[in-house]
Amino acid sequence: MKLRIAALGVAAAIAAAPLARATTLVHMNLRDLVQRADKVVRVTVLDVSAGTVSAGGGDLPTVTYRLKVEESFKGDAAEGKGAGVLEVRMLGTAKAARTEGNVRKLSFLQDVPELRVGQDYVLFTTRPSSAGLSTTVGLGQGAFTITGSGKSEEQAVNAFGNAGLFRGMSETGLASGRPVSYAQLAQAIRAVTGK
Amino acid sequence: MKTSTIRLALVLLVAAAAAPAFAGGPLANCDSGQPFLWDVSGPGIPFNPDQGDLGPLTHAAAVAAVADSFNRWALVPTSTATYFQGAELPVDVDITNFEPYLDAPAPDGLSAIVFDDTGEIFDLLFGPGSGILGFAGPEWGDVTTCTITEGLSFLNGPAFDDLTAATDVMVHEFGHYSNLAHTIVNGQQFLGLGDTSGPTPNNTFGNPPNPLAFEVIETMYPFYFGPGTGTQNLNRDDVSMISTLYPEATFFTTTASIAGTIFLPDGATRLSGVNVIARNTADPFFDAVSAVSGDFTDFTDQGDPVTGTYRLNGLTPGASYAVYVDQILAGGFSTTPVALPGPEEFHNGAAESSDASTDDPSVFTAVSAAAGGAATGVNVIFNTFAPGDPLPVGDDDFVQLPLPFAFKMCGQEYNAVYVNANGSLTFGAGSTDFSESIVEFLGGPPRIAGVWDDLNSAAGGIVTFDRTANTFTVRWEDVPEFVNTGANTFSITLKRSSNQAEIEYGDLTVVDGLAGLSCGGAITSGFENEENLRTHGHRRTINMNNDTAAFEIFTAGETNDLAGYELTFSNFKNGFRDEFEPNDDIAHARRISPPFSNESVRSFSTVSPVGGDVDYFRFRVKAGDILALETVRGAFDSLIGVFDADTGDLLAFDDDGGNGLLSRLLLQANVDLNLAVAVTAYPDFDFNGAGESGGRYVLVANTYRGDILPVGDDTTTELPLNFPFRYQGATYNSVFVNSNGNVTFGAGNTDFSESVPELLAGPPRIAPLWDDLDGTQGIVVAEHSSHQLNLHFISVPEFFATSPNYFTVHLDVLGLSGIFYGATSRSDALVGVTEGGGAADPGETDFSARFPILSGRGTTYEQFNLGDTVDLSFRSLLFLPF
Repeated sequence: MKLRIAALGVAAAIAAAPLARATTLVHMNLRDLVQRADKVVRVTVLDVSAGTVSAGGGDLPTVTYRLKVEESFKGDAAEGKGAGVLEVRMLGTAKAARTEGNVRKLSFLQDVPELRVGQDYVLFTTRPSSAGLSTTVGLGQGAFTITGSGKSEEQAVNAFGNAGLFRGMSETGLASGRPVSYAQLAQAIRAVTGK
Repeated sequence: MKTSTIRLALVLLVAAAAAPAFAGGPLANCDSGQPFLWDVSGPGIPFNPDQGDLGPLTHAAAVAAVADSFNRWALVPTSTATYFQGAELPVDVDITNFEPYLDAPAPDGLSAIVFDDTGEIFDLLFGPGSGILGFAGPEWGDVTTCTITEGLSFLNGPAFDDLTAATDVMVHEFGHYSNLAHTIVNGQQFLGLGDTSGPTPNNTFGNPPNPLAFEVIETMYPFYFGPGTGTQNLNRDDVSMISTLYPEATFFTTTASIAGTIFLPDGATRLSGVNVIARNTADPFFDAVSAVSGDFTDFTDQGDPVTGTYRLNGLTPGASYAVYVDQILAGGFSTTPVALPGPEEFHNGAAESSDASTDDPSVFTAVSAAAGGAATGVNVIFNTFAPGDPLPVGDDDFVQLPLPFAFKMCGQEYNAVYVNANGSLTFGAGSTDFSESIVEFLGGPPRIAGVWDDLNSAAGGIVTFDRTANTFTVRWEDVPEFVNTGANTFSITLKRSSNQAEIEYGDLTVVDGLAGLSCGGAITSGFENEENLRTHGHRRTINMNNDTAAFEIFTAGETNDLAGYELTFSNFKNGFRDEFEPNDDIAHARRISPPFSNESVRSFSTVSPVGGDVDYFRFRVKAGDILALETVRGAFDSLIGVFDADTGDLLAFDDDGGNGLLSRLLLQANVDLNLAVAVTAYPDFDFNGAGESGGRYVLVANTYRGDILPVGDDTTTELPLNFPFRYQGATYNSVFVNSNGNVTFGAGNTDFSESVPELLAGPPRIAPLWDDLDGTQGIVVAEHSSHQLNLHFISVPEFFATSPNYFTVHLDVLGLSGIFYGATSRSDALVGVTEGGGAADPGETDFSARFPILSGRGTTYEQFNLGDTVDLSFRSLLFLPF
């Protein structure tokens, strides 16, 4: 076919079609989460976009979150114009199942937390790999949704209902398995980081 | 009680919480009521081990552990599932070559069990220290036979301390490989979540024999309690599900079943995502089986007969079972768990109803069935509230209530409504959002908002409802704003016969908030603008005919004026017709003329039905034309394809180059062409309508001619003019094109943080959209002639965002200037003209409320912010030279 049309601007990303599998994770309490995390930040999700990254001999689908850092508990903040903005690229996609002919692709890792634009979170992110990929530590364990944002009674709960979050951390006086106030979570994180 | 066991590593076994509604039973469904299944009629379920070692395990030990773990499932006597080891993978999979096994583009005949010996693959995919031990599942399925054809598993070798830990993880993961999802029977009582053995707060059957008797925890429970806690040993629930999927001939004839449906309080609306547990009253922990309602379908709508249903197999014939609904408290599930619409409760036989006075949640009617038989109709109807009861919506919560009649919103019929604490009713989904916004109002669920604001009935006032055969009313009475300020009274009434919505306001103390009606994100364009809801008199009827939303947002500068008023919304019953159908192929492509966009309801376009629609449009381009093709709005995962309309050749396509999952192509033609543009949904790469999502979209199809300017992020480019341009009393021979959405004269400007003082103090300026725009993510084109210049900002998003902005600045030899907006993001910005140099502040002008021809002398501006976003999409502003 004669090339009669040329692409301009940002190249189109053509992603494959993953779906869900099941994942086994080490359970972590808050101390483990903090210690394993490269960054611990409270963020507001500004934007989400899909893309790909080359790794392992091919291209893998990614989801990139652009995050406004509201509060930093651990890790370096960006400098320059992008100060206060963090970009996290995770393996995964929001794509629906793909069927070609008679064949449907049934599985791909989709256990990475799905973050919603405009929502506040406390994220414990891993150090980006050589491919630029990271995730939240323990997947949903390291992603706390903040409800009642901007209010005095803000609550934080991770994707697993804070199950076992304070196990072995009786010094916090906090109970696992239920939402915790943001102020208490922040205090407990600071107690671990020593800041 | 010894506590040492508790210190064993607790591990999460996580399924995709965000996945579509796969089941608590099967992980992947082929069709409603039909899960994908491996073919076990032949040699069994295949697996192909990796060539290398697995952390502490040698290759031989790892392969043996894999075989042993599969064999735990194969040994279930009532199941036909068997497994066989195929050839080893053709390579030793490592960090350099894993992608074809993780994300194969097509079936390859292999069901890979990848041994990540060094952990490098997991570190690369998730970053170091992610805590991920492994994952597994079916990989490919044949949709004509609903047969799983390949599976896969990745195992993180260094994460296993020993063989026991590896085997525990493998047995659980290979349950997923066999297409079992997570389940909850007893595990929830071990996590310290306060769960009970009956409907909470009733601990009907007491605690398990010993709180540390981990043997009662099902293998497919989402949390792993560490080596030695029995994960390798299957429980009744695990045996039931593997046998249900792959039954021996005698399974259903020698065991009993219980089946039923979970209903909302209306007794008619079926509800998926509710965990149902049956316990043998004589052996409540070891003889117990669960299912999540609706687990055998991916759909949750009432048109699917499987929605809300459950079936428990493998039960003891003749035994007495207590059946109850239980809130899932933690863990990831492939059938999305729902917040229960009422208290947990037992099935209570003939007394089952929504009335708590006669249907005590703590009382059960025992159910039993004979061998080969099934007790059916074991339903649960959630208890609910009575008219006048305080609705427990608190500060930011919601409750779902059944409607006494079917109510239509923009073509969709609803039998239930969500009452949201923050002053609105929504349909199809509840809303806890206390920070009202136009974007969310238009893009969220269908909504009727009386006062969408941060109301707090936990601090005062009361929210109640009332109903008759023909009306349904929710009333907020004396409800303060958060924390506890003032008192607000209003009601929203839905009317059966007219299908109208009426909002009646009493006293209001709020000054802000949002009021109105939205058809929701599947129907709105996202470009609808607010209007003044209160006009004259004491009431107003708003005819929604051909409108997808009618609303007003109030701010501190434009305060809420609805106290004592009455609003009635009418004519929103019906849906909207796709104005371009039939246009499902190139031959039927509808002719359009760029610049084109279909944001108007008069050019309503939708990909519908899902899986059966693609829309084609055609137009002609000339050599040198620059094309912008973009789905700028749409609540689905779009695809755009560009075809040679004469030959049918696909020239270019895009999936996610636009905002989020939307699509964008920026192209340039180098010959004259008849083009056809197709809009469809992922993964319809053949553009024949086989997408898997859909809804309304707004397509921009524009062509431009001119020179592409080297505009970056925070840059300025001086552009010579082909004519002298007279502006603000001076004459200029060049213009500075500033990437942040404005042009200046005499000096460039790279300031990305717009402000009124800087507007007044800076150089003479025309600011179509002064904001922190990123020119590297779009293009800017200068279209010159001897007497005019058009500067086209094409799909330029804000810095660190992807929502596009289209606008054109026009300058001509007569000193006329103009701004022509296409699609713009609802964001903050500063818009206007100024002579600069210390100009006096004349105050803001509401451009959208003004006749669009204004004086270009002096300063005129409007400041938009995140509470009052840009409302100028598809409008024009013309500035005269005098």
